[in-house]
Amino acid sequence: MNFKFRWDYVTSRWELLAHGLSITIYVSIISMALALLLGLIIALLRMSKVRVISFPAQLYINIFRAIPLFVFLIWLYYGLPIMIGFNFAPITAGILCLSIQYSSWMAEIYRSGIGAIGKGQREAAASLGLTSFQSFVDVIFPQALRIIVPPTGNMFVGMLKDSSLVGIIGVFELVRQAQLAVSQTFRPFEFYTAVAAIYILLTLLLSQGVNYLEQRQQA
Amino acid sequence: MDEKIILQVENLNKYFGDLHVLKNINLQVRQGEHLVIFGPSGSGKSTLLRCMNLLEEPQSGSLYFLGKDYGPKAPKRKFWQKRDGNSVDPLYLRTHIGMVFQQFNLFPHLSALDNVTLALRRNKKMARDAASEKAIKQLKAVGLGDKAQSYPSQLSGGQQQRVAIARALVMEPRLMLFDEPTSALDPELVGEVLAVMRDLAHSGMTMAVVTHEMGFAREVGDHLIFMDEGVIVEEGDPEILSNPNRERTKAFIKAIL
Repeated sequence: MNFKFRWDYVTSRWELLAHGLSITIYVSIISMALALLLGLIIALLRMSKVRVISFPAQLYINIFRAIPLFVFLIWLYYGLPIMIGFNFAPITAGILCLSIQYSSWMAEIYRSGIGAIGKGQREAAASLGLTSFQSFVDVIFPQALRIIVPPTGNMFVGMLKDSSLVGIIGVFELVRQAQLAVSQTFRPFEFYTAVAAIYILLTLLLSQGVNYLEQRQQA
Repeated sequence: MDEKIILQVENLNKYFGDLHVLKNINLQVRQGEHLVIFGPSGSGKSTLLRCMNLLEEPQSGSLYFLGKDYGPKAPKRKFWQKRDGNSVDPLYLRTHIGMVFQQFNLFPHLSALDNVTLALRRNKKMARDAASEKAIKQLKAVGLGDKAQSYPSQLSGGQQQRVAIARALVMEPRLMLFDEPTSALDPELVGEVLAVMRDLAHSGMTMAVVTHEMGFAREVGDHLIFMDEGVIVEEGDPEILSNPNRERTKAFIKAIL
Protein backbone atom coordinates (compact mmCIF):
# COMPACT_ATOMS: atom_id res chain seq x y z
CA MET A 1 0.00 0.00 0.00
CA ASN A 2 1.51 3.24 -1.02
CA PHE A 3 -1.59 5.45 -0.70
CA LYS A 4 -0.80 8.80 0.74
CA PHE A 5 -3.51 10.82 2.39
CA ARG A 6 -3.22 14.24 0.74
CA TRP A 7 -5.00 16.64 3.01
CA ASP A 8 -3.66 19.61 1.05
CA TYR A 9 -6.11 18.88 -1.80
CA VAL A 10 -8.95 19.57 0.60
CA THR A 11 -7.42 22.63 2.23
CA SER A 12 -6.65 24.19 -1.14
CA ARG A 13 -10.32 23.85 -2.14
CA TRP A 14 -11.88 24.71 1.20
CA GLU A 15 -13.94 27.51 -0.33
CA LEU A 16 -15.77 24.97 -2.44
CA LEU A 17 -16.75 22.99 0.64
CA ALA A 18 -17.52 26.12 2.67
CA HIS A 19 -19.97 27.21 0.00
CA GLY A 20 -21.59 23.78 0.01
CA LEU A 21 -21.78 23.84 3.77
CA SER A 22 -23.55 27.19 3.75
CA ILE A 23 -26.14 25.81 1.29
CA THR A 24 -26.60 22.68 3.42
CA ILE A 25 -27.20 24.78 6.54
CA TYR A 26 -29.48 27.18 4.70
CA VAL A 27 -31.62 24.42 3.17
CA SER A 28 -31.80 22.50 6.47
CA ILE A 29 -32.82 25.46 8.59
CA ILE A 30 -35.44 26.79 6.18
CA SER A 31 -36.87 23.31 5.61
CA MET A 32 -36.93 22.54 9.33
CA ALA A 33 -38.65 25.83 10.15
CA LEU A 34 -41.29 25.13 7.50
CA ALA A 35 -41.67 21.54 8.71
CA LEU A 36 -42.17 22.72 12.30
CA LEU A 37 -44.89 25.14 11.24
CA LEU A 38 -46.58 22.91 8.68
CA GLY A 39 -46.34 19.90 11.00
CA LEU A 40 -48.14 21.75 13.80
CA ILE A 41 -50.96 22.77 11.48
CA ILE A 42 -51.30 19.22 10.13
CA ALA A 43 -51.23 17.81 13.68
CA LEU A 44 -54.01 20.14 14.82
CA LEU A 45 -56.14 19.27 11.79
CA ARG A 46 -55.40 15.58 12.33
CA MET A 47 -56.66 15.82 15.93
CA SER A 48 -59.92 17.47 14.95
CA LYS A 49 -63.03 15.54 15.92
CA VAL A 50 -64.57 16.57 12.60
CA ARG A 51 -63.77 13.79 10.17
CA VAL A 52 -63.87 16.01 7.08
CA ILE A 53 -60.94 17.91 8.61
CA SER A 54 -58.98 15.08 10.21
CA PHE A 55 -59.15 12.70 7.25
CA PRO A 56 -57.27 14.87 4.71
CA ALA A 57 -54.60 15.49 7.35
CA GLN A 58 -54.30 11.76 7.96
CA LEU A 59 -54.01 11.20 4.21
CA TYR A 60 -51.30 13.87 3.96
CA ILE A 61 -49.28 12.19 6.72
CA ASN A 62 -49.64 8.70 5.28
CA ILE A 63 -48.68 9.75 1.76
CA PHE A 64 -45.74 12.04 2.43
CA ARG A 65 -44.03 10.01 5.10
CA ALA A 66 -44.16 6.95 2.86
CA ILE A 67 -42.51 8.37 -0.27
CA PRO A 68 -38.72 7.92 -0.36
CA LEU A 69 -37.16 11.37 -0.46
CA PHE A 70 -35.14 10.43 -3.55
CA VAL A 71 -38.31 9.55 -5.45
CA PHE A 72 -40.15 12.61 -4.15
CA LEU A 73 -37.36 14.95 -5.31
CA ILE A 74 -37.24 13.52 -8.81
CA TRP A 75 -41.01 13.43 -9.04
CA LEU A 76 -41.41 17.04 -7.97
CA TYR A 77 -38.46 18.49 -9.87
CA TYR A 78 -38.50 16.53 -13.11
CA GLY A 79 -41.99 15.03 -13.17
CA LEU A 80 -44.41 17.64 -11.97
CA PRO A 81 -43.26 20.45 -14.34
CA ILE A 82 -44.15 18.24 -17.31
CA MET A 83 -47.72 18.04 -16.05
CA ILE A 84 -48.28 21.58 -14.83
CA GLY A 85 -45.82 23.40 -17.07
CA PHE A 86 -44.18 25.21 -14.20
CA ASN A 87 -40.55 24.85 -13.19
CA PHE A 88 -39.26 25.12 -9.66
CA ALA A 89 -35.76 26.38 -9.00
CA PRO A 90 -33.73 23.39 -7.72
CA ILE A 91 -33.37 24.89 -4.27
CA THR A 92 -37.11 25.63 -4.04
CA ALA A 93 -37.98 22.10 -5.07
CA GLY A 94 -35.48 20.73 -2.53
CA ILE A 95 -36.83 22.82 0.33
CA LEU A 96 -40.41 21.93 -0.64
CA CYS A 97 -39.71 18.18 -0.62
CA LEU A 98 -37.77 18.25 2.63
CA SER A 99 -40.27 20.40 4.48
CA ILE A 100 -43.30 18.46 3.25
CA GLN A 101 -41.77 15.11 4.11
CA TYR A 102 -40.54 16.25 7.52
CA SER A 103 -43.83 17.99 8.30
CA SER A 104 -45.58 14.62 8.05
CA TRP A 105 -43.20 13.18 10.65
CA MET A 106 -43.36 16.31 12.79
CA ALA A 107 -47.15 16.12 12.75
CA GLU A 108 -47.00 12.71 14.38
CA ILE A 109 -44.45 13.94 16.94
CA TYR A 110 -46.66 16.91 17.80
CA ARG A 111 -49.69 14.69 17.99
CA SER A 112 -48.15 12.23 20.42
CA GLY A 113 -46.80 15.10 22.55
CA ILE A 114 -50.11 16.91 22.71
CA GLY A 115 -51.99 13.65 23.21
CA ALA A 116 -49.81 12.78 26.20
CA ILE A 117 -51.14 15.74 28.20
CA GLY A 118 -53.91 14.46 30.43
CA LYS A 119 -57.57 15.35 30.10
CA GLY A 120 -57.44 16.85 33.62
CA GLN A 121 -55.25 19.70 32.38
CA ARG A 122 -57.77 20.63 29.69
CA GLU A 123 -60.60 20.41 32.21
CA ALA A 124 -58.79 22.55 34.76
CA ALA A 125 -58.13 25.20 32.11
CA ALA A 126 -61.76 25.05 30.97
CA SER A 127 -63.03 25.28 34.55
CA LEU A 128 -61.14 28.58 34.92
CA GLY A 129 -63.01 30.02 31.96
CA LEU A 130 -60.13 29.85 29.48
CA THR A 131 -61.05 29.50 25.82
CA SER A 132 -59.83 26.39 24.05
CA PHE A 133 -57.25 28.53 22.24
CA GLN A 134 -55.94 29.97 25.53
CA SER A 135 -55.95 26.51 27.02
CA PHE A 136 -53.82 25.22 24.14
CA VAL A 137 -51.35 28.11 24.16
CA ASP A 138 -50.92 28.49 27.93
CA VAL A 139 -51.50 25.01 29.30
CA ILE A 140 -51.33 22.18 26.79
CA PHE A 141 -48.63 23.22 24.31
CA PRO A 142 -45.94 24.31 26.83
CA GLN A 143 -46.24 20.90 28.50
CA ALA A 144 -46.29 19.05 25.18
CA LEU A 145 -43.13 20.92 24.17
CA ARG A 146 -41.10 19.06 26.80
CA ILE A 147 -42.09 15.80 25.15
CA ILE A 148 -41.61 17.14 21.63
CA VAL A 149 -38.11 18.62 21.91
CA PRO A 150 -35.95 15.43 22.00
CA PRO A 151 -37.50 13.71 18.95
CA THR A 152 -37.49 17.04 17.11
CA GLY A 153 -33.74 17.23 17.69
CA ASN A 154 -33.43 13.83 15.99
CA MET A 155 -35.53 15.12 13.12
CA PHE A 156 -33.16 18.05 12.69
CA VAL A 157 -30.16 15.72 12.56
CA GLY A 158 -31.99 13.64 9.97
CA MET A 159 -32.78 16.79 8.03
CA LEU A 160 -29.10 17.79 7.86
CA LYS A 161 -28.18 14.46 6.37
CA ASP A 162 -31.20 14.15 4.08
CA SER A 163 -30.45 17.59 2.68
CA SER A 164 -27.50 15.96 0.90
CA LEU A 165 -30.05 14.27 -1.37
CA VAL A 166 -31.13 17.56 -2.91
CA GLY A 167 -27.77 17.47 -4.72
CA ILE A 168 -29.38 15.09 -7.24
CA ILE A 169 -31.60 17.87 -8.56
CA GLY A 170 -28.67 20.26 -8.85
CA VAL A 171 -28.52 22.10 -5.57
CA PHE A 172 -24.89 22.73 -4.77
CA GLU A 173 -24.90 21.63 -1.19
CA LEU A 174 -21.98 20.08 0.67
CA VAL A 175 -21.95 16.61 -0.91
CA ARG A 176 -22.53 17.92 -4.41
CA GLN A 177 -19.64 20.36 -3.98
CA ALA A 178 -17.46 17.54 -2.76
CA GLN A 179 -18.32 15.53 -5.87
CA LEU A 180 -17.30 18.50 -7.95
CA ALA A 181 -13.99 18.73 -6.12
CA VAL A 182 -13.42 14.99 -6.58
CA SER A 183 -14.02 15.26 -10.32
CA GLN A 184 -11.31 17.91 -10.46
CA THR A 185 -8.77 16.20 -8.22
CA PHE A 186 -9.56 12.47 -8.25
CA ARG A 187 -9.13 12.41 -4.46
CA PRO A 188 -12.52 10.99 -3.32
CA PHE A 189 -11.19 9.56 -0.06
CA GLU A 190 -9.87 12.88 1.21
CA PHE A 191 -12.96 14.88 0.27
CA TYR A 192 -15.50 12.41 1.59
CA THR A 193 -13.55 12.13 4.83
CA ALA A 194 -13.77 15.90 5.15
CA VAL A 195 -17.50 15.83 4.38
CA ALA A 196 -18.11 13.11 6.96
CA ALA A 197 -16.16 15.09 9.55
CA ILE A 198 -18.22 18.19 8.83
CA TYR A 199 -21.50 16.27 9.28
CA ILE A 200 -20.27 14.76 12.54
CA LEU A 201 -19.35 18.21 13.78
CA LEU A 202 -22.71 19.68 12.78
CA THR A 203 -24.59 16.85 14.48
CA LEU A 204 -22.56 17.26 17.66
CA LEU A 205 -23.29 20.97 17.73
CA LEU A 206 -26.96 20.33 17.17
CA SER A 207 -27.26 17.72 19.91
CA GLN A 208 -25.52 20.13 22.29
CA GLY A 209 -28.23 22.65 21.44
CA VAL A 210 -30.98 20.11 22.07
CA ASN A 211 -29.39 19.09 25.39
CA TYR A 212 -29.30 22.71 26.41
CA LEU A 213 -32.99 23.14 25.58
CA GLU A 214 -33.92 19.99 27.50
CA GLN A 215 -31.98 21.05 30.57
CA ARG A 216 -33.46 24.52 30.52
CA GLN A 217 -36.94 23.00 30.49
CA GLN A 218 -36.25 20.82 33.48
CA ALA A 219 -35.09 23.76 35.58
CA MET B 1 -86.85 31.03 52.04
CA ASP B 2 -86.08 34.27 50.29
CA GLU B 3 -82.36 33.83 49.77
CA LYS B 4 -81.19 34.03 46.22
CA ILE B 5 -81.10 30.80 44.26
CA ILE B 6 -77.62 30.54 42.75
CA LEU B 7 -78.07 27.32 40.88
CA GLN B 8 -81.09 25.30 39.95
CA VAL B 9 -81.20 21.88 38.34
CA GLU B 10 -84.46 20.73 36.75
CA ASN B 11 -85.25 17.25 35.44
CA LEU B 12 -81.65 16.76 34.44
CA ASN B 13 -80.75 13.63 32.46
CA LYS B 14 -77.32 12.53 31.39
CA TYR B 15 -76.35 9.48 29.38
CA PHE B 16 -72.95 8.00 28.60
CA GLY B 17 -73.90 6.03 25.51
CA ASP B 18 -76.66 3.71 26.67
CA LEU B 19 -75.83 4.22 30.32
CA HIS B 20 -78.34 6.49 32.06
CA VAL B 21 -76.13 8.12 34.72
CA LEU B 22 -78.37 10.95 35.92
CA LYS B 23 -82.09 10.35 36.10
CA ASN B 24 -84.39 13.35 36.43
CA ILE B 25 -82.31 15.24 38.95
CA ASN B 26 -83.91 18.24 40.65
CA LEU B 27 -82.14 20.45 43.15
CA GLN B 28 -81.45 24.02 44.17
CA VAL B 29 -78.40 25.67 45.63
CA ARG B 30 -79.14 28.86 47.53
CA GLN B 31 -76.72 31.64 48.25
CA GLY B 32 -74.42 30.76 51.14
CA GLU B 33 -75.61 27.19 51.18
CA HIS B 34 -73.21 24.27 51.59
CA LEU B 35 -74.50 21.39 49.53
CA VAL B 36 -72.86 18.03 50.18
CA ILE B 37 -73.43 15.20 47.73
CA PHE B 38 -72.50 11.71 48.88
CA GLY B 39 -73.13 8.17 47.78
CA PRO B 40 -71.37 5.07 46.42
CA SER B 41 -69.01 5.30 43.46
CA GLY B 42 -70.83 5.17 40.16
CA SER B 43 -73.87 6.85 41.66
CA GLY B 44 -73.47 9.87 39.35
CA LYS B 45 -72.49 12.40 42.01
CA SER B 46 -69.33 13.58 40.23
CA THR B 47 -71.16 13.66 36.92
CA LEU B 48 -73.85 15.83 38.46
CA LEU B 49 -71.21 18.24 39.74
CA ARG B 50 -69.48 18.28 36.36
CA CYS B 51 -72.77 19.07 34.63
CA MET B 52 -73.04 22.19 36.78
CA ASN B 53 -70.15 23.88 34.93
CA LEU B 54 -70.76 22.00 31.69
CA LEU B 55 -67.62 19.86 31.81
CA GLU B 56 -70.23 17.24 31.01
CA GLU B 57 -73.13 18.13 28.76
CA PRO B 58 -76.46 16.78 29.93
CA GLN B 59 -78.90 15.55 27.28
CA SER B 60 -82.13 16.90 28.70
CA GLY B 61 -83.48 19.08 31.48
CA SER B 62 -82.53 22.58 32.54
CA LEU B 63 -79.75 24.24 34.47
CA TYR B 64 -80.18 27.77 35.76
CA PHE B 65 -77.39 30.01 37.01
CA LEU B 66 -78.85 33.07 38.77
CA GLY B 67 -82.09 32.41 36.94
CA LYS B 68 -80.61 32.08 33.46
CA ASP B 69 -80.96 28.78 31.65
CA TYR B 70 -77.71 27.30 30.39
CA GLY B 71 -78.84 23.70 30.01
CA PRO B 72 -79.36 21.76 26.79
CA LYS B 73 -82.52 23.74 25.97
CA ALA B 74 -80.84 27.14 26.24
CA PRO B 75 -80.07 28.81 22.90
CA LYS B 76 -76.42 28.29 22.01
CA ARG B 77 -74.37 31.30 21.12
CA LYS B 78 -73.10 30.95 17.58
CA PHE B 79 -69.42 31.65 17.18
CA TRP B 80 -70.07 34.78 15.15
CA GLN B 81 -72.41 36.23 17.77
CA LYS B 82 -71.06 38.51 20.44
CA ARG B 83 -71.25 37.45 24.04
CA ASP B 84 -73.99 39.39 25.82
CA GLY B 85 -75.39 39.32 29.31
CA ASN B 86 -78.50 37.41 28.30
CA SER B 87 -77.05 34.14 27.18
CA VAL B 88 -75.01 32.09 29.62
CA ASP B 89 -72.25 30.39 27.69
CA PRO B 90 -69.71 28.04 29.24
CA LEU B 91 -66.96 30.66 29.44
CA TYR B 92 -69.15 33.14 31.29
CA LEU B 93 -70.40 30.40 33.55
CA ARG B 94 -66.95 29.10 34.43
CA THR B 95 -65.63 32.50 35.40
CA HIS B 96 -68.37 32.56 38.04
CA ILE B 97 -68.26 28.94 39.13
CA GLY B 98 -64.96 27.66 40.49
CA MET B 99 -64.00 24.01 40.52
CA VAL B 100 -61.57 21.90 42.53
CA PHE B 101 -60.68 18.44 41.23
CA GLN B 102 -59.83 15.18 42.92
CA GLN B 103 -56.43 15.06 41.20
CA PHE B 104 -55.76 18.81 41.79
CA ASN B 105 -54.94 19.30 38.09
CA LEU B 106 -52.45 22.07 38.75
CA PHE B 107 -50.46 23.18 35.73
CA PRO B 108 -47.07 21.52 36.36
CA HIS B 109 -45.10 23.89 34.13
CA LEU B 110 -46.23 26.97 36.08
CA SER B 111 -45.30 28.10 39.59
CA ALA B 112 -47.99 28.17 42.25
CA LEU B 113 -48.26 31.91 41.67
CA ASP B 114 -48.67 31.57 37.90
CA ASN B 115 -51.22 28.83 38.37
CA VAL B 116 -53.29 31.29 40.34
CA THR B 117 -52.71 34.31 38.08
CA LEU B 118 -53.26 32.59 34.72
CA ALA B 119 -57.03 32.99 34.59
CA LEU B 120 -56.82 36.55 35.93
CA ARG B 121 -54.40 37.54 33.19
CA ARG B 122 -56.11 35.70 30.34
CA ASN B 123 -59.74 35.84 31.27
CA LYS B 124 -60.00 39.08 33.23
CA LYS B 125 -57.16 40.69 31.25
CA MET B 126 -55.43 41.87 34.42
CA ALA B 127 -51.83 43.12 34.27
CA ARG B 128 -49.26 40.75 35.72
CA ASP B 129 -48.50 42.95 38.74
CA ALA B 130 -52.09 43.41 39.76
CA ALA B 131 -52.82 39.73 39.20
CA SER B 132 -49.78 38.68 41.26
CA GLU B 133 -50.79 40.93 44.13
CA LYS B 134 -54.26 39.42 44.17
CA ALA B 135 -52.88 35.89 43.84
CA ILE B 136 -50.43 36.33 46.72
CA LYS B 137 -53.30 37.43 48.94
CA GLN B 138 -55.25 34.36 47.93
CA LEU B 139 -52.27 32.05 48.51
CA LYS B 140 -51.83 33.58 51.97
CA ALA B 141 -55.48 32.91 52.68
CA VAL B 142 -54.91 29.18 52.10
CA GLY B 143 -51.71 29.31 54.18
CA LEU B 144 -49.24 29.13 51.28
CA GLY B 145 -47.93 32.69 51.07
CA ASP B 146 -44.37 31.35 51.20
CA LYS B 147 -44.87 28.83 48.39
CA ALA B 148 -45.73 31.26 45.59
CA GLN B 149 -42.57 30.50 43.61
CA SER B 150 -42.73 26.72 44.12
CA TYR B 151 -43.71 24.40 41.32
CA PRO B 152 -46.46 21.83 41.89
CA SER B 153 -43.91 18.97 41.89
CA GLN B 154 -42.22 20.62 44.88
CA LEU B 155 -45.42 20.70 46.92
CA SER B 156 -47.17 18.00 48.94
CA GLY B 157 -50.58 16.78 47.82
CA GLY B 158 -52.29 18.86 50.47
CA GLN B 159 -50.40 21.96 49.44
CA GLN B 160 -51.19 21.32 45.78
CA GLN B 161 -54.87 21.04 46.52
CA ARG B 162 -54.76 24.28 48.50
CA VAL B 163 -53.11 26.01 45.53
CA ALA B 164 -55.89 24.58 43.36
CA ILE B 165 -58.46 26.04 45.74
CA ALA B 166 -56.69 29.43 45.62
CA ARG B 167 -56.62 29.22 41.83
CA ALA B 168 -60.39 28.83 41.73
CA LEU B 169 -61.11 31.36 44.49
CA VAL B 170 -59.06 34.16 42.96
CA MET B 171 -61.72 34.52 40.26
CA GLU B 172 -64.20 35.46 43.01
CA PRO B 173 -66.74 32.83 42.02
CA ARG B 174 -70.37 32.84 43.16
CA LEU B 175 -70.26 29.09 43.61
CA MET B 176 -67.45 26.63 44.32
CA LEU B 177 -67.63 23.02 43.17
CA PHE B 178 -65.47 20.45 44.96
CA ASP B 179 -65.15 17.04 43.31
CA GLU B 180 -63.85 14.66 46.00
CA PRO B 181 -61.12 17.14 46.94
CA THR B 182 -59.48 14.92 49.55
CA SER B 183 -59.84 11.49 47.96
CA ALA B 184 -56.38 11.50 46.36
CA LEU B 185 -54.59 12.66 49.51
CA ASP B 186 -52.56 10.79 52.10
CA PRO B 187 -54.66 10.54 55.28
CA GLU B 188 -52.50 12.96 57.26
CA LEU B 189 -52.88 15.65 54.57
CA VAL B 190 -56.67 15.55 54.45
CA GLY B 191 -57.04 17.77 57.50
CA GLU B 192 -55.27 20.83 56.07
CA VAL B 193 -57.47 20.82 52.96
CA LEU B 194 -60.67 20.35 54.96
CA ALA B 195 -59.58 23.22 57.24
CA VAL B 196 -59.32 25.54 54.25
CA MET B 197 -62.73 24.42 53.02
CA ARG B 198 -64.21 24.92 56.48
CA ASP B 199 -62.87 28.49 56.60
CA LEU B 200 -64.30 29.11 53.17
CA ALA B 201 -67.69 27.81 54.27
CA HIS B 202 -67.66 30.05 57.34
CA SER B 203 -66.83 33.04 55.16
CA GLY B 204 -70.16 32.52 53.45
CA MET B 205 -69.09 31.00 50.15
CA THR B 206 -71.75 28.97 48.36
CA MET B 207 -70.38 25.46 47.92
CA ALA B 208 -71.30 22.15 46.34
CA VAL B 209 -69.09 19.35 47.60
CA VAL B 210 -68.88 15.73 46.53
CA THR B 211 -67.12 13.92 49.35
CA HIS B 212 -66.76 10.79 51.42
CA GLU B 213 -65.74 12.83 54.49
CA MET B 214 -68.84 12.34 56.61
CA GLY B 215 -67.41 14.36 59.50
CA PHE B 216 -67.04 17.34 57.19
CA ALA B 217 -70.52 16.75 55.75
CA ARG B 218 -72.06 16.76 59.20
CA GLU B 219 -70.17 19.81 60.40
CA VAL B 220 -70.22 22.08 57.35
CA GLY B 221 -73.05 20.75 55.21
CA ASP B 222 -76.46 22.30 55.57
CA HIS B 223 -78.03 20.63 52.53
CA LEU B 224 -77.16 16.99 52.07
CA ILE B 225 -77.98 14.78 49.11
CA PHE B 226 -77.55 11.03 49.01
CA MET B 227 -77.34 9.64 45.49
CA ASP B 228 -77.44 6.09 44.21
CA GLU B 229 -77.70 4.78 40.65
CA GLY B 230 -78.28 8.22 39.20
CA VAL B 231 -81.14 9.32 41.40
CA ILE B 232 -81.39 11.45 44.54
CA VAL B 233 -82.42 8.89 47.14
CA GLU B 234 -82.58 11.21 50.10
CA GLU B 235 -82.17 14.92 50.70
CA GLY B 236 -82.16 17.00 53.88
CA ASP B 237 -80.08 18.55 56.65
CA PRO B 238 -77.19 16.72 58.40
CA GLU B 239 -79.81 14.91 60.47
CA ILE B 240 -80.17 12.41 57.61
CA LEU B 241 -76.71 11.11 58.51
CA SER B 242 -77.90 10.14 61.98
CA ASN B 243 -81.47 9.21 61.14
CA PRO B 244 -81.71 8.24 57.49
CA ASN B 245 -85.24 7.59 56.24
CA ARG B 246 -84.39 5.27 53.39
CA GLU B 247 -82.99 1.77 53.74
CA ARG B 248 -80.41 2.45 50.98
CA THR B 249 -79.06 5.50 52.85
CA LYS B 250 -78.95 3.56 56.10
CA ALA B 251 -76.99 0.74 54.48
CA PHE B 252 -74.51 3.14 52.87
CA ILE B 253 -73.85 5.13 56.05
CA LYS B 254 -73.49 1.94 58.05
CA ALA B 255 -70.99 0.60 55.51
CA ILE B 256 -68.70 3.63 55.52
CA LEU B 257 -68.70 4.51 59.24
